[in-house]
Amino acid sequence: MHSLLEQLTQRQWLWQGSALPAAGQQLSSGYAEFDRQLGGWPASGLLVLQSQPAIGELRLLLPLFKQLQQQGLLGLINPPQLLQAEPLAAQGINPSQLLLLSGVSETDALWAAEQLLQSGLCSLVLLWQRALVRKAARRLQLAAQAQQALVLQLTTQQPELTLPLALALQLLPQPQGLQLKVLKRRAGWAGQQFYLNWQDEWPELYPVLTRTQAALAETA
Amino acid sequence: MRWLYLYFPSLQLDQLAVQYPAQPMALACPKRHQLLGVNSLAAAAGVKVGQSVATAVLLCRELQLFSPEPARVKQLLQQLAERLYQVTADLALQPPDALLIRVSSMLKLYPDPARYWQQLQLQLADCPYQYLAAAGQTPLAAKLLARSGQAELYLTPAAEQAKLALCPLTASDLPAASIEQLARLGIRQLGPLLALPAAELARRFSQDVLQYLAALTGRVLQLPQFYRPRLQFNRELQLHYEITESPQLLKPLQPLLQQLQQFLRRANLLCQRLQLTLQFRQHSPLPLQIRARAGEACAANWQQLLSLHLAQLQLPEPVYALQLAATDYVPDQRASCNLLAQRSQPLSKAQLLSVLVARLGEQAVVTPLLSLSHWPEAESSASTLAALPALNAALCYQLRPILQLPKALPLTEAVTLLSGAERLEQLCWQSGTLLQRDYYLARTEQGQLWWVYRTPQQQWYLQGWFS
Repeated sequence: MHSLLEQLTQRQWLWQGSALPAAGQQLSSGYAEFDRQLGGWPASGLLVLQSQPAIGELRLLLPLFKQLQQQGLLGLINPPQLLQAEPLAAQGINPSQLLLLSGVSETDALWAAEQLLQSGLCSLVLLWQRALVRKAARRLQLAAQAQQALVLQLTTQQPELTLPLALALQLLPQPQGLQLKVLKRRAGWAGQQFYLNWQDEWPELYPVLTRTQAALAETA
Repeated sequence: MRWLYLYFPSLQLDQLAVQYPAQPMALACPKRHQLLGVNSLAAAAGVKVGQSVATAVLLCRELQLFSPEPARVKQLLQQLAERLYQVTADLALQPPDALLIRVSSMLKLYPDPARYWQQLQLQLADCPYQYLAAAGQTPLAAKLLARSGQAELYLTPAAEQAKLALCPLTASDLPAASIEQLARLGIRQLGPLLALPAAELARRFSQDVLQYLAALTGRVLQLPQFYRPRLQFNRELQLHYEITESPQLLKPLQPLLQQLQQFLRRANLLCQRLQLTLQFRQHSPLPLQIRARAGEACAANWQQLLSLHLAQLQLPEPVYALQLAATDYVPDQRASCNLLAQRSQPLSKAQLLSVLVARLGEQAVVTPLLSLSHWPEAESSASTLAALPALNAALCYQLRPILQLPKALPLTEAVTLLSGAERLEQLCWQSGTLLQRDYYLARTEQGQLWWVYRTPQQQWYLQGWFS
């Protein structure tokens, strides 16, 4: 029985209560609802966001970027399109804190992510990659934990939940904002769902419908 | 002991002996088929300098012949000078095969000449070359003693005079014609020549003889051109075997990188660019540029950068020699670092960039730039690590997509327009046409938020993603 426990712990399927992150160790997401549900982003480790492109997956992270750029570089690896500095600067993110690697093969991207983490210069590495194999995920997670940094994978595919993930979220578009679904959470329950209302933050993107417009939209 | 003459009689053969140990070798003049130098193994078999190649090969069947390479010998001598310069200040190259050292200035630093000589010997012991060392009151006296095979270090001036008197004139630097003329007079050694009165000599011999004798005896002081180290690192390496796999090149490069580290540390410099040139038998030489942005002196870091470069390299042919040259030096100025930072920072940002560029290439690593142009396609500039312009308030760009398509695509999906229109115009000064676009924020049925535009011709395009 004891060896079974050990095996499970080694594979990171089993967690001890003493290893739980204390309340103050999480990073505020900048959204009250998010912090209420999850307590914020984990301070280090490997996170996965599953999302279609162009639904607000980066805007969800902007407050986190803003917070982490004080502590180091933000590495962005293989964004699917050209990254624009202007809208990021408008949100208070200093482009000189960004390190952008694009057009890199998948193996090179993993290597680069590990280099960025190990250098101790990056507080966050954002990696657009379809899938991670166990070995790569483990390496990234260890590198991130050693340097107290975050590595975030953005994917359109269903993530493999047996990987050593600190948090896996699924993002779904909503007319008023974004719906988040917890797929996996270290030392916590999965399956929660909650909504972020962005009608105040981004009024142009999430317009408040008048009653007639709403009725029209419904009939359509 | 005021001057020291170090004579290296067989530089090239000694160097070759490292490559081919236990091999009788000789240097042969390719035109006259005559031997110019032999190593000890060949000499043991009876091969002598001056023999014809045919005789030598008959005497010793395994004899390997090499043609003399003056350029290589010069380089070896240069390296020796560089090495000895670490312990001695006044040093002159005496091409092709000797070094001259002024000892008197260095003796202020050493309690006695023996201690100083010990230091020199330590440096020489690391080199595979045979040498003869002779000391003298003048440079020429030391040279003559070394060349005539009477290499002794600690002689009193009187004993030195006695030794010199016995030196054959053929070992001296006198013109050959004068030596022959003197031999006809029965003067074959230096002693009788020095005994002749100068006025008599002047009448019967050329000016060269008098000048030589004056310099030899110290009546006229001739200072040689002293060696100054070059601020250049350039090393060539002949591989002992040909290398076909590029990662294996790292092994022979290691000692060169160590030398580079020593060189840079001594000069208190960092090197920003290394050029590694690989030599092939048929293919033209392949130059590789390895860059370290902030400059680097540490051999281990250079090795890491080189290994990244070499891992991607396909060799067209086996490599038989390589050359490592350092260019672009910067002074070594260490930046201060945060002692209390939570993350350990083994690398600086420039070092990290060098590592990334070494594997991914220059074009893959960028820092996004603000272009501050209203036109969307102009916004997509991303500079390769150039200096950033001052960050202006970019608030007007708040409603721009973070991700933009490299080229706008025709819109093929049904979308709901959320807000707009924002008209952007651009006058193309070359053709004089006015580009006009009406931009809208749009939402697809899947809920994706797009930045789309309509041209005056009522065509719709997708420009970017509100990710």
